Amino acid sequence: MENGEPWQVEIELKTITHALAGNEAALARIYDAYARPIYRYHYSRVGNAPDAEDLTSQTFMAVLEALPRYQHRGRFTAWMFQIARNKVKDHFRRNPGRKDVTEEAVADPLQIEALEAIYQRESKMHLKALLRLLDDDERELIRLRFTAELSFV
Amino acid sequence: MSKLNQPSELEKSVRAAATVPEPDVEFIHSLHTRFITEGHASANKNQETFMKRKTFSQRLTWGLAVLVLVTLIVLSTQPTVVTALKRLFGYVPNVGIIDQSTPVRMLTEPMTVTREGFTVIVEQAVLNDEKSIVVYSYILPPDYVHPEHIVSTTREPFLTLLDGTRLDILRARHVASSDCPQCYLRYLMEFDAIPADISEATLEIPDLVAIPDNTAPQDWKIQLKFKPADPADIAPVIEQIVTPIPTTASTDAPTQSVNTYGITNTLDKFVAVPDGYILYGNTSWTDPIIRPYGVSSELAGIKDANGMDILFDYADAGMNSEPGELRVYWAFKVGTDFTAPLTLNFVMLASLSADGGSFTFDPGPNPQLGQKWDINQDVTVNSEVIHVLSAEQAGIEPGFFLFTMQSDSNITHASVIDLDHPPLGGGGGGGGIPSAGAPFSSGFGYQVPIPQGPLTLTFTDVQLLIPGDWTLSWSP
Repeated sequence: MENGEPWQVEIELKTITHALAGNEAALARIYDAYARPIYRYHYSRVGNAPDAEDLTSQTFMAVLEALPRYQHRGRFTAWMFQIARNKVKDHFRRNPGRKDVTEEAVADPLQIEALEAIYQRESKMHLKALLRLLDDDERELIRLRFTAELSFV
Repeated sequence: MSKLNQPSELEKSVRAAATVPEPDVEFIHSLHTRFITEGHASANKNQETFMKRKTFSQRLTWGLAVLVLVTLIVLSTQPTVVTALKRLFGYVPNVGIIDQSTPVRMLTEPMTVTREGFTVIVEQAVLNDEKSIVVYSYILPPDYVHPEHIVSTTREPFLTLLDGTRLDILRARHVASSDCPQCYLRYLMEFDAIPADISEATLEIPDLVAIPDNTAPQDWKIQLKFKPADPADIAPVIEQIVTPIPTTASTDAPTQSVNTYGITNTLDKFVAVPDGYILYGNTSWTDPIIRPYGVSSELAGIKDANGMDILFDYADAGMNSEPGELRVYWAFKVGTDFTAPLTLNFVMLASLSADGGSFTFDPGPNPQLGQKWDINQDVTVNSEVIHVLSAEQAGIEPGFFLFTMQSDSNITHASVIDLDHPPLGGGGGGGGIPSAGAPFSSGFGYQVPIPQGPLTLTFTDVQLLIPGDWTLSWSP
């Protein structure tokens, strides 16, 4: 997948059936298709690699637990990301001191040394500040679209 | 690619603001190994347990239990009956709903054994006259490295009683371990009932589940002691059947009748847990034209009495459909911050086999990733028209084509296959809950090299949005 290209492929029922039967190629196909988008989604919520890795691991283990109950409607991606979202919600519930990074206060721009960096960062921060004005559902759309690279289809 | 498909400046800016780093390659590789190992082990266990499904007598027992339950519910306007119902079933964290109509015993305390850096914790056991459930989790040593090549031949755990009786595993499954971040996984096992006069057993675990061979200690033996359950450890399960009769399904054409396939959506019961409520229910149907697992009740949202949207989580329904059963089970969890009653708004979807219908598509000699083709063919499937609008070679590998379609009927999705060429993959796209008339996508993957066109894609399944009022109202 090219970075920036919307990610549109869904996993077919046959692959899921084979994965349920323990077929390594099918399991690998699911993992390879979703590992990076799921990680990027988690990172966009928690803002650090260790937590994003932990949540990604939890998501994939939860997928194995839930797969026998999955009902195929051609929307495997939505199902996967619902599990990921639940993991993030659990994470913030268990760690009330940690904040959703899209809701955090912006960092002190004076810490940025290079003028260009300040300019670029301020632009980003301004946009991030604007993003924070969105409600949860709208922010979720942005995350899914631009960090997990999902399409609007 | 058309100009419309080029990212706008706004999109570029938002993407830049939303940029996140790529994951560590070592992490991705490690999780890949773990996912496949556990998926393989889980599949083995699913197959084994499937072969050991309930006997007829057990089903009869359950049937009678349900009959008694229904009878009791009919009488449930009486407070004494309500109290009795609360006692009939109970909820134990990480175990689920248990039958406590007979005496229940549990572990005296969790048992922990550590060997060579691996820690196994038998967290809970629930024993009644019907079965014995044991839940264990384990923690890997911090320096554990998954091997490159995985061979996992897990031997089944079993229980040994003091007189030497061996109880083999009847069924087992992974259960959620999100409340235990350090746990590698948590595993629930069911065995035959342990006689009431026996209060000790040994859990023998020849191989930790989902661990590659020769990478962890084997032949674990853990002593378990049981005691009568403390009522405080079992949350009450409140039977509260809510089965609205669906309103007459309506369409834009009021005189047109719509088949609802005998679908009934029912809220069965709920459990109050410290941080909210778990709602349990099921969706059943009577028309066998819809296969098992063919109906899906999507919870589109929950509102409270003040019209506020209430967040919910998916929960473990604890029940799987029996082979051939026209019923699916669901469970959702809500918090406590709401004003009752809650209104659960479901969208009902049904999948049916397509009765044929096909379209042709020619990708040309050298299709490129991202390339789009107009198709604009109308295909009649199950007496309804599907407009096949376009195709795109999309996704992560060559050969995968995504077809965009739309139907003016209640068809919200359809699957296609090329009967002349072996598939690499298929599937479909679209996020969220579908609505009638909205475009949807369906994919088919060809093996490379992509066969030369024209190619014929045949419909295999369609998904219908079943009209009607599928809301359920619930109060704790």
